[in-house]
Amino acid sequence: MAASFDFSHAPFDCLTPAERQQLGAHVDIAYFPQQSCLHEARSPVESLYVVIKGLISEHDEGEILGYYGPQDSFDARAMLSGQAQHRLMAVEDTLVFCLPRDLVLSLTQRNPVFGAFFYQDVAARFAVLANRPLQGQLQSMLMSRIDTAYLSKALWMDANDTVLAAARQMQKHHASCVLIHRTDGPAIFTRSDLRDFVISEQTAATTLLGPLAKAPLRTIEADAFLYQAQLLMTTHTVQRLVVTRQGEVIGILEQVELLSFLANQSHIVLARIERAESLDELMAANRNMEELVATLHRNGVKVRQIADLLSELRRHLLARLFTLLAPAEVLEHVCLLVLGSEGRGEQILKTDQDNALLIEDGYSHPALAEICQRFNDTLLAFGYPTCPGGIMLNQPDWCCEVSVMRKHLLSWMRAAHADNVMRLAIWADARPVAGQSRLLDQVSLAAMPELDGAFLSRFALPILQFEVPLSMFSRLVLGAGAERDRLDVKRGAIFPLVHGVRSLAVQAGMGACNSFERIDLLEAQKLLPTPLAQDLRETLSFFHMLRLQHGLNLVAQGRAPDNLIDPAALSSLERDLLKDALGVVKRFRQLIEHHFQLARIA
Amino acid sequence: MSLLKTWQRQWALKTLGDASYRFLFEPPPAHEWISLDCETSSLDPKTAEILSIAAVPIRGNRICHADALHLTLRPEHAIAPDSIVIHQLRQQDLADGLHVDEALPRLLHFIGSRPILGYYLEFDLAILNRLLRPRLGIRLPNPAIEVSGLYYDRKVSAYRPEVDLRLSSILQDLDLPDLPRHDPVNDAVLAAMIFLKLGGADRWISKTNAADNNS
Repeated sequence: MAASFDFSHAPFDCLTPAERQQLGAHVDIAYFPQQSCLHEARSPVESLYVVIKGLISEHDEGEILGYYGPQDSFDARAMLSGQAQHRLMAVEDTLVFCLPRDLVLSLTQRNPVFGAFFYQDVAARFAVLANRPLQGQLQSMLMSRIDTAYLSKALWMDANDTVLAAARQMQKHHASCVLIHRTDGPAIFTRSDLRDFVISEQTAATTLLGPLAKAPLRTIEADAFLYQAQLLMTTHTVQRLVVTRQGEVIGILEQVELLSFLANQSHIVLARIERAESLDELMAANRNMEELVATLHRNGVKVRQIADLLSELRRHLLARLFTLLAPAEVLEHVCLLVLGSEGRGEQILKTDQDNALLIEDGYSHPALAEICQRFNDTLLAFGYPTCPGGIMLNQPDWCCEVSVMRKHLLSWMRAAHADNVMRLAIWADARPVAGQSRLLDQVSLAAMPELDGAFLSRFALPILQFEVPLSMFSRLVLGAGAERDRLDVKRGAIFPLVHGVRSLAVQAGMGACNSFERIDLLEAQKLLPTPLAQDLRETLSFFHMLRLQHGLNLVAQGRAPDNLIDPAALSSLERDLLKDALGVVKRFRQLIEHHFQLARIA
Repeated sequence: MSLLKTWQRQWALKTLGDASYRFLFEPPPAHEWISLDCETSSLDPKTAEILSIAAVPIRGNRICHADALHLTLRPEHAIAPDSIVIHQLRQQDLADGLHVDEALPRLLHFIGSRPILGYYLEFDLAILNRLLRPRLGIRLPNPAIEVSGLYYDRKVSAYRPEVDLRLSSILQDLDLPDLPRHDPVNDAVLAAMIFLKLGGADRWISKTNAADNNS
C-alpha cells in the first residue's frame, strides 16, 4: 500500500516500523470544503484526524477554542471518548487523514509513549511528558524517593533513660541521634544536644533524657523526593529528618547522606548565604544560585521544584542582606517583605525587585531610610533590576508604618481601578522574609474587612485584560505577515492563571501566597473541582517550564530573559501541549468570569 | 434517464453474456464512487496490457484509502521498455500477478454499478472495455467522470480558452498535496481529491436528482 501518510511528526514518530505499516494500511482521506462542519459537538467520532492541507477550527458555543493546521492531529479527547466535545469546522478547504479510532486506541495501549500523547486527561499527559527526561540517563538523584536513599536506623529510648545511656547507644550504633518516647509524643536528642549538655557540666549518669529532648520532630514521608527533604532541611536548618511511612517512623535521613548525593548543590549555596559576613561573600553566593538553576534544569528536575528551592534560597539571600545592612535592633520592629512572583515563590530566574518594609507603628530609626536605599542598591548590583512600578523599600509607599499601609490599602480598595488593583494583587502575594511577620498579619489582604463582592469583582477584572492567544495558531499556520507572532507567556497564560487563583484565594481569605498551595487549598475546600485543580497545576508548571527554558536560552546567549516565546521554535509535541494548556487557561478564565460576574462591570 | 440511455442499457443487458453480472446494472449505492487508475504496458489502447490496477472507493466526502483494491496482473507480452521507466514495474515484478480472467471479476465485483472517475479515464476504460467485450459481451455500463473534464469546466472561459490539464498543474492550482506518482493507488487518490475539491460529489448528486425528477 502506498505510504502517503507522514510518520515524521509527533506522536506518530514514536511508532515502530510494524506499527507504522499497520496504521498506514488503514488511513483514509477526507475532504471538507471551506465552512463545512467535520462534526458537531456530542456527535460520535470514529476517527483521529491529521490535517494534510488546510485549517480546522474548534468551536465551543460560538467561541473559537483553537486551530489545527497541517500535521496537527485532532481531536485526541474526542477520539478517546468516541464523542465529539466541540464543533469542528473547516476554515479553508481542508484535506485530512482519518485514522480509525479502534486501531489508534489499540496502538496507545501497546506503545506507551504514543499512548501518553492521547491520555484523555491533559494533566496526565503533562505528568508523563514532564517526567520523560527522568526516565533516561539524566535521572537526577534529587528526584529519587527518600526510601531509596540510605536511612539510619531509628534508636528509641525512654524519657527516663539517662544522657549517659543515650551517649552509649549513639556510640555503639554510630548514630548521631536517638528518639525518645515522651508523654507528649516523640522527641529527638542529637549529637549537638549532647555537646551542649557537656558544656552545661551536668552529670550524664544521673540526668534524664526526657526534658532535654526536642520536639516536634521534623519528619518526611518515605515516598517523598530527596529534593523535598533537602528543602525541609534548608527551611528548618536541621541536619536530619525522621522518615515516616504512613506516620510510623522507619528511619533517619542524615544530611551527610543527602549531601553526598547533592554535593555542589543547593545546600552548599544556602550555607554560603548564611555564612556570608560581607556583601562580597553574599554576591558570590548569589552567582552560585544562577549556576544551580541551570544544573537542576539540565538534570531534569521539575520546574516547580526548582522554583521551590530557588525562592527559598532567594528569601534567605534577601534576609541575610537585610541583616547585614540593618542593626539587630531594627529587626525587632520591622518586617521585610517580598511581593508579587517573588512572594509567591514562582520566580526562577532573577527579575525585577518587588519588596517592601512594614514598620511597627510609632517606631523610627535614624538610619532606616539609608538602610533601605542601600538594600535596593545592593540588589541592583547583584543583578536584580529595579522595579519599574516602584515597588521597593526606598519608595515611601512601600516602606511605611502598619497603620499607614492600612490606609494605603483602603484607599486602593475604594478606588479599585486597574493600577490600584495591580498594587493590591502584588500585596496579596506578600511574604515575610526577615523581621517580625506579625506585622504583616495585621494588614494582609485576606484580613481586610472590606472584601465584599463588588470589590472582589473589580479585583478579578484584570483577568480579562489580555486575550488568551489561541488565535496565534491560525496566524502561524496561515503564515501571514513577515514578523512571526510570539506568545507572551506571562500576559497570555501565566497572569490569568495566577490572578484567577489569587482572586479565589483572597475571596476565601487564604493566607497562602504560592499559586500551587492556593490551588491545593481551594481544591481541599471544594472551591475548585479536582480535575480542574489538577489541570491548573500541570498547566501552570508547563508555562513556568516554557518560560524557564526560554529564559535559560536567552541567558546562555548573553541576553536578558523575556517572556516572548516563539511557538514555531517549539517541537510539535510542545506546540500541541501548548494548545491544550492554553485551552485550560481559557476554560479557567471563563470560570472566573462567571464566578465574579465580570460581565456586569467589564 | 433519457430514452436513448435507457435503451442502451436494455440492449447491454440483453447482450450480457453472463447473467451473474446483472449487478452492474443495478442502481448504485447513493454517494459512492470509484476512483480508478491503471498502469499499462504501453500507451496504445489497442494492444496495451494492464499491469496494475487500483480502485479506491469514495463514500461521501471520504476517500477510503484503506478499502482500496489493488491488483497486479501478469502480462502475456513483453512490457515496453519506455513504460517500465514510468511505472517501474518489470516483467519479474509481475510474475506472481493475476491472470486477466481472475482480475477482471474481482474488479467488477468491487466496482459494482458505482460511477467511475479518473484522470484521463478514457484510456483506462478503453483497455478495460477491450478486455471485457470478448468475455461478457458488453462495455462497462458504469457512468464515467473525467476529473480533468471537471477541472476544464471550472477553468475555461472566453478569455482563457487554454486550460493546463497536466496533473501537476491541476494539483498545484487546486492547492492539493502531491503524492508519489505512478503508483496506481496514489494516482487514484489524487484523482479522488480533485473530484472532491471540485465539488464533483455535490454536482453529481444534484445532476442525478434532476435526472430522476425528469424521468
